[in-house]
Amino acid sequence: MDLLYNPEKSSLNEDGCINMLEELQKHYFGAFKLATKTYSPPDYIHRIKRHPSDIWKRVMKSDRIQWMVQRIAREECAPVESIMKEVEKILKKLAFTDHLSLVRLLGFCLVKVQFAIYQNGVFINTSAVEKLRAMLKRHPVIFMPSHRSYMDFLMLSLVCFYFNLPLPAIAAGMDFQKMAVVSGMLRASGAFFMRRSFGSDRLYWAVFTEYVHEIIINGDRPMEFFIEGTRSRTGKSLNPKFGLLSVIAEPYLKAQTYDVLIVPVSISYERLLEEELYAYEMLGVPKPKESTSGLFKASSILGNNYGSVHMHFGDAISLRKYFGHLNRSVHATYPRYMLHLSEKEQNCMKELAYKIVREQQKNMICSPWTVIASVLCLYPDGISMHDLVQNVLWFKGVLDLMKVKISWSSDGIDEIIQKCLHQYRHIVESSICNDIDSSWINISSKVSERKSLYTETAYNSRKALTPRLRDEAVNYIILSSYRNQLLNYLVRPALVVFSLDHHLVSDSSNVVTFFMSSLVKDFEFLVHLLCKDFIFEPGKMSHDLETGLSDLTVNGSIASTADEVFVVRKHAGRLHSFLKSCFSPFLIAYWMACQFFLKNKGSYKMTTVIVQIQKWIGDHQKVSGITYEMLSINLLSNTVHSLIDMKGLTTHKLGKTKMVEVSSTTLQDISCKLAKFIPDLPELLTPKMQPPFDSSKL
Amino acid sequence: MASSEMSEKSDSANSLRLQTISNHLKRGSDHLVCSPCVSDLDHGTIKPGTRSIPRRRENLLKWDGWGYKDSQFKINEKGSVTFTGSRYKLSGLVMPHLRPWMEEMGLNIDEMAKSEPKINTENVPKPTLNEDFIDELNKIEMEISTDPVDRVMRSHGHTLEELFLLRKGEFNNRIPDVVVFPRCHDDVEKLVAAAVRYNVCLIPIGGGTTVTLAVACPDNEARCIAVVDMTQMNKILWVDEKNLLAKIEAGIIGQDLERDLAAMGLCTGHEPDSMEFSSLGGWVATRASGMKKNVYGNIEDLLVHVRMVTPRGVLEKNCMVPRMSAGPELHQFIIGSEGTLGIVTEVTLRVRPLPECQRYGSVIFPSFEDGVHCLREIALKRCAPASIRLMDNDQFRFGQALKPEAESIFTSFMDGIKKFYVTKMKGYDPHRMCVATLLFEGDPEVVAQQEKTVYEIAAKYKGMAAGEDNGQRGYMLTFVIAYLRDCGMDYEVVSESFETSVPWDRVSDLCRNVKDRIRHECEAQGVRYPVLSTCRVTQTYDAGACVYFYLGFKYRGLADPVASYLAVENAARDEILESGGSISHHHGIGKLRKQFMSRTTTPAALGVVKSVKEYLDPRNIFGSGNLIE
Repeated sequence: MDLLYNPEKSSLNEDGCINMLEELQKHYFGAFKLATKTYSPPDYIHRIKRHPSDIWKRVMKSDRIQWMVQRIAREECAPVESIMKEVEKILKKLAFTDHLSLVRLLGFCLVKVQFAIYQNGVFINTSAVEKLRAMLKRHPVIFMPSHRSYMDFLMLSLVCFYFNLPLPAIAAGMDFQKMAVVSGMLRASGAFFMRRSFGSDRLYWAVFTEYVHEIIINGDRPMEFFIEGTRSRTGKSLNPKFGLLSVIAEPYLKAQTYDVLIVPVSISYERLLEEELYAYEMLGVPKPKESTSGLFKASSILGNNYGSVHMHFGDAISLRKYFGHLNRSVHATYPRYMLHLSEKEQNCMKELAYKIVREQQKNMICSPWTVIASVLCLYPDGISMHDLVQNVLWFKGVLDLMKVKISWSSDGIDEIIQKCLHQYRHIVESSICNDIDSSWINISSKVSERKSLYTETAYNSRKALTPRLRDEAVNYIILSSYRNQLLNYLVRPALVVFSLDHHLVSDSSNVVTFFMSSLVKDFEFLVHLLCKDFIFEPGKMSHDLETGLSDLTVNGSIASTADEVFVVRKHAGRLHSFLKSCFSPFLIAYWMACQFFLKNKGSYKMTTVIVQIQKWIGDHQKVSGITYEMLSINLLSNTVHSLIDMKGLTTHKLGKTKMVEVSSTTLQDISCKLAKFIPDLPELLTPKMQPPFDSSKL
Repeated sequence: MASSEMSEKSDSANSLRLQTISNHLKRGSDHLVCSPCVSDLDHGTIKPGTRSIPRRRENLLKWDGWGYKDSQFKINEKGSVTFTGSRYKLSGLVMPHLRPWMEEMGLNIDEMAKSEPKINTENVPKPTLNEDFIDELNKIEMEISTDPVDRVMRSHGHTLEELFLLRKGEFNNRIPDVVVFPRCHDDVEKLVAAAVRYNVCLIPIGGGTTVTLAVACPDNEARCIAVVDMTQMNKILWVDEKNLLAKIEAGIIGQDLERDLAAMGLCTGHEPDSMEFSSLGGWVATRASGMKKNVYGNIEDLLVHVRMVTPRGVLEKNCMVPRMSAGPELHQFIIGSEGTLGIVTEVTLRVRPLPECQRYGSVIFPSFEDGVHCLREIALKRCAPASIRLMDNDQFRFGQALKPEAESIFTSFMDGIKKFYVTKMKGYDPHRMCVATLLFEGDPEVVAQQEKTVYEIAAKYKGMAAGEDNGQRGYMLTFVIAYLRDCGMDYEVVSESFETSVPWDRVSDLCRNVKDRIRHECEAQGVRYPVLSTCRVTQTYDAGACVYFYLGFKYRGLADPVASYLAVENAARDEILESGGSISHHHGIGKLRKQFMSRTTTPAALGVVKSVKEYLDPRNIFGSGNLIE
């Protein structure tokens, strides 16, 4: 019996990471060795050892639950016993159990699967693991991984098991609970199942809060939460959720723990297991219900190579340090089971949430394929190999200057591109010529056999897209989701470039300059518009602008001369138009949505309006400038919410349904402002809808 | 002024008293412990009427540490720790486990930091004298002294930084310029009037046991500073058994007061840990709390009437009633005023008949949290014995280290059996278990009933009765801890205690957080040796508890041990406040904790305190600088 992992004996790559799968494969029967290894994780010093069922028993007796139950009993004239029964029911659905033997079995299966699909390895930054080991003893720890795939939490638990770290208690979505056997296995390895939305169910909220607190305070296990709330289907980060973070921070703010450490974890997949699933979901095919039989069907993935996975543990954020300026004694004058966070504390919570997402982004490692995909996205009709190589090389240079982490291998660029094209041959086709340079690369129009699995379920609503259109669009959506991974890093300079256009001043000697302050209004408008699609921390606009300017400066496309005055360099065109092209689909989609509403004023049901817009854009697919990725439900939903925020749309309740109503003057205004940033507006069939461009209004 | 002699009492009252005393003595033959009050002070040999602290304190007490000169921890010729003298139960005994415990803390008998042998009078700052004031005092025949030793002896309390400085043979820039010894209330009135007339700063002092820098002279005080030694005002003026009241001069020392009252079959029941040396006036000025407050109440409950001389005149009520409704309670402004408003001269306290029976006990719990829950229920049921204290695991083990040598092989064998039973048979984790010490007091029937109830509740929380010895040793710890600190200082250890009060639901969390914070801050300060960071719950109330912390570490290797120590203590205080604890339960604010005052209340509330000071003492005659700026 041994620990299997030994920091001295493991070989590190140049980034200080070890390849867990390779380490395991060094042993005969690696998966078996892992499943039977000695497992003795470090313990939080103040932890009192107890059975997982003791946790929920304590929750039932807790002040918070007793108080809430009494209150509900009083207000709803219900007997206390029946509410307590309700509490017990919620807890039994919620709670995790603890069966190491099942964990071992799960670990065994998982490693077997990973050997098959992650043929390029699973990389972990070990120096952080060793630091983590020491921290886990001193303070309660919360892992906050990025969320791109169901593999995320399986992966984190497996890594913890391998490195002899305590297995986290995972806040997982209720949807898994329906999976027979599997849900039991997940529960046994520490998952607890929470509802997606708590709504106004205060009893559920109280039970959930108390359950989480009980685990944090006693440090039974580290916990694992996804700050993005759900898996991001688009490759971009999602705006963080604050509610859960408040639950986590509460024990610290009320001095029930000395500290709580939040460890952002960035999990980057070279190729996502769910790539097609997501793409179809974005095209309106409902996500298949998690079921055990579905899992077996999905076993067909086993034949494919999904490349590598990088798991990067970021620096721990200590709440004690982060909230050091907050006076916790403000919570001393009321019972601790009542939740009151001051406005100041809530603002801090938001800041922290953005910081966590930012840390996750910072440590993501993109694959070369994302770079290639970005280029391919710009050439929907295909590109020659020669041009592709040239463009990728150039773009790589840009990204390197911006210090974006990309896992280039030591191979030559041609070879890397060839390998990628081979790996993603289900999305892109290359016509092979004798001369490789002149071979033509375009996006595949073929639909693989597996895809029919998703499509046959779907065409039941006349409002939805036709299966044909979906199949045409799906590869474009997949491709854009890989490109999107890079957009997180490009959005700030790109928005600067968009804002620039109308504020350039050229002097007699053809030197083109602009004032930083002149950009502010346009930049602010774009940030406001796109803040659902990209992560902008509220109130940090000027910082975002500065970041955008400095990214461009680093790339030499602009240079700062005097205070706030910048010169646009002669060769800036390529970068600027590249950035614009990357983000145009977003702006056009937003503009199209505006047109949709301006054309059909009236009120819409919130639940169906997005599909209606999608369908409408689908009808305009032939119009130049309109691309398949604008059909993405995620994008359109962000658009609607953003327009609501900007008051171009208003919402109200009709009975129980949420309705959206057009507020035409404001929306018209937004549409005009937006049109200004789009170089070639799509020419829609009803030209009267398109207001003449009137610069005096802006 | 009230009569000052007890002899004026009627014969019938005398005979009644004698009756009580003789009853009391008779019961002494029971196996119940009947010595009054102070845990291990032997009163039998000291006659009533004795005043234990002489005018020249240095003849009896240490000048550079705690307590009696003859009592200290020492390493004997066999290399074991022993406690010298004959004043305490522990005196003359050898504690074989203490040295190994000290060595665990990193102490090394070869690494010593000895104190200076005596006060070096040459280094004592020269006094700033106000000639007119001195003349005036001489005219009214007040006893005064400008002797350097007298001045130094009254220039400090027992805060760590004060003792550290003394032991090095150094002094603050400002120490008192003159010592005044008033003999009665009228003297004090004349003294304050003179101070007002000649603008002299007055700092009252009783036993000088403060641990908040409350008697230290402010560095920037340019005026002549007169320290008013109250200990010569030490008479019991009268005892009124019908109303159970006693009027006492404020300078009386705790043990003298209890001894004299005991001779009459009475007691106040007020037993702060410092009661051997602290004075009644000091208790009032700091809002003191006694160990047995569950039976007798804290000082604010005991106090029925008080006189305080302020620059504006005498503050007192004109009746002695148990309670009255007449606007905000004046006494609450006097209690805890820390010498900033005036001098407390005479106090009327409630007294009680001496308890017939006193009994120790102890309960061990598997964990501190279990113990807290038990104490909470005892408080809820209002069946708390006179004293109940819950020590954490570290303090429990510390207490065990103080166990004297077993008297026979048999006892040591029995000890082994007990330990085996508790840890092996009952499954108590020796690194988690903790002990609650109990002191029952009252009628034998009441005590027996109380014992039953308390042990029953304890059993609900997995508590197991652990005998009288453990209980008694627990209380002994509080009396000898200050001596042990001196011993620690000899071996390069800085240590201190501090306290807070906190609602029940926060007790465990506060204890854990503060102990963690202490360890982390010590690490940050670069402390190289194990840190003693331990606590106990020492008082229970309906709504919460008082928690008492001990903190100590060997400072070898630190550039400025006192600064490091203060950083740690301030961090701990910060953590206490953040965890919902109070700034102090009974030590007071003084100058040590003044910086935290603004965090504990609103500016308006501080303004009230300031405005009272402004009215009573506009020229800041009582310029000790305690409480608030």
